[in-house]
Amino acid sequence: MAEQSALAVRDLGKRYRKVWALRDCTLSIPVGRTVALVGPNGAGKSTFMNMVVGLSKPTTGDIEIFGSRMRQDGPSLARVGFLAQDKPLYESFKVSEMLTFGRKLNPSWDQALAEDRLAKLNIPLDRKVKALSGGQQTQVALTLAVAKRPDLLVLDEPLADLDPLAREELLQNLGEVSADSGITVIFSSHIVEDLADTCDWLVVLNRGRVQLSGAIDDVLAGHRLLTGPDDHAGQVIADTDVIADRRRNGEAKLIVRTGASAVPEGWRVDPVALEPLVLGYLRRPESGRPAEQTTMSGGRA
Amino acid sequence: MTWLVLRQARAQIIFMGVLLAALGVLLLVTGLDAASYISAHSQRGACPGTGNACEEFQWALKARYQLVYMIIGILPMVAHVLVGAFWGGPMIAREVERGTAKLAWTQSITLRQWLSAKLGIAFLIVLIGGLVFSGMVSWWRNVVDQVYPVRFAAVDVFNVTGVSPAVWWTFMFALGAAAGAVFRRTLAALAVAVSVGLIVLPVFSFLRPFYADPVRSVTVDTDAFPRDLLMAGMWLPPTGKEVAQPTSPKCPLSLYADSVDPRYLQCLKGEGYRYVTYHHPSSRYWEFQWKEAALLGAMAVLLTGVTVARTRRLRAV
Repeated sequence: MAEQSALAVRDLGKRYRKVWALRDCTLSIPVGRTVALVGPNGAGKSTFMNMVVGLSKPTTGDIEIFGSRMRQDGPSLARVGFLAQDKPLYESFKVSEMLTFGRKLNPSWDQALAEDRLAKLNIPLDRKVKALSGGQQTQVALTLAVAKRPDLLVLDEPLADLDPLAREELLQNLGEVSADSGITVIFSSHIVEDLADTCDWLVVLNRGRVQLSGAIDDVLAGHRLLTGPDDHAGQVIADTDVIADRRRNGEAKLIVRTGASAVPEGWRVDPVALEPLVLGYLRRPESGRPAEQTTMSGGRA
Repeated sequence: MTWLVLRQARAQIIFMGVLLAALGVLLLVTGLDAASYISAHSQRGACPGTGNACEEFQWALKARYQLVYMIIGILPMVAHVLVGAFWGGPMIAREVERGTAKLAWTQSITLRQWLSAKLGIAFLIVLIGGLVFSGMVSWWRNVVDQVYPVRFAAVDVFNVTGVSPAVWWTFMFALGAAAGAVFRRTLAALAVAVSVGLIVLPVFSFLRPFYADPVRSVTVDTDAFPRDLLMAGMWLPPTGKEVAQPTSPKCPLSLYADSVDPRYLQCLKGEGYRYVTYHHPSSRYWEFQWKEAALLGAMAVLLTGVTVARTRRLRAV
């Protein structure tokens, strides 16, 4: 409990007319983490992020950023940097004018950081925004969010619409940003493979609910891959909560929680990889309960 | 915020500036020319007046500056619509459409700061532009009006002088901005600003005579009040009860060419008939200007309330 939370949400919910886009969302993310927010399209990722950055008001629950309540006011907004999914910029502005925009509207703006960043990326300041490539526009938008010097950086699908090279570059870049400044970064994606190298915390959102939230090491340590004969799988399934269940040629591969039950005789136990684990959760929206998410970070290796 | 607002409205500000400058040059050149033309033809004694000499000179002047008259006549309509459609309309709508609202709203400023800067600065510029416009046109009108006075409530006088342009532009800006905030589409805001603007302008021309009760004047001269807004004309027989048409048996209309035949009017005068007008004297110009300003101003305030409420809702979604 001594660890301060960069982001703590309690019972967070958002209802659009009669449909709940997000419900009963409770999680806490320690300072300095790089968080991957994963979920299928329509899982509520954008809804969650919009509320965290103050673009949208929660229907239920509340949000705390570094211990103080998130409000739509100057001090709250200054602590959070945001990159929206469509990476909006003023198209008719020059890159340098976008930086002026950032400088004029943010008290903690770091002009040198912004200029260095763009220089490293070879993005000319006198070029108009609409003359830049998609990847460059994303980088300019990200630079705006970073040079604001936020404590929490929230990026909504920063990797979408980028070619593999630009994606690789951006991911590496994100790693540097969080390593250099120690800020907490949350970014969403529906592609799991991108995240393992860059992130150290995982949040799985599915059908508007949090399925999993924890340090990636803990999450991996908390699950095991069991391989054994197909015809004995039924017994394992009956005993424990199975996250993933793959059968092939009389062989069953089951992902289960560590320590949930004794390993049956003759079954092989392996560590689990992140991607199949996440996919397993996504396929079973009913798996994972709020009560377990909070303990997950406690380290059950 | 000021920097951002001015940068975002740069195209509109430049366009308005260039248009005002071009109009200023045109009015200055033709105004000076008109002044020397008027003094050279030394018709000042005859005009304004009802004599033939003055009338001929008026026509000559009007023909000479036909283009300027036309521009002054059309400009109010065009300028109102432009301000509403291309400045007010995109103000909120384009930000929502392009997603840049999300960018602005996640900087370290409140929605209140953002909205008040955007609306406040634009209103100020539009107001100043309208006053500059009316100042230039008023100067030009003053030059030619010594010869060719026009009814004060006519669209090409009332709507282009005084506070009217500034007030109209403010109203149209508020209309465009509200339409943009409600429909969240630049094109829809443009369509609303154009169509509502084109309806509201003639509606106000129609309403204008009713800003006050007309003055009743009894006269023998049917050509009086050239600069007034005439509402109705009646005949007052010696018997004392106003009638629309004289029924004097001594002056049957059938004997004359028409009802404005000078001999007919002369006959009626001889019978003791007097002419009654219900009119707004030109001294009511400012009273009418301010009344219209109050009406449009109140509507602009209401529309801006809609803009603020809708934008706040967008933020809460």
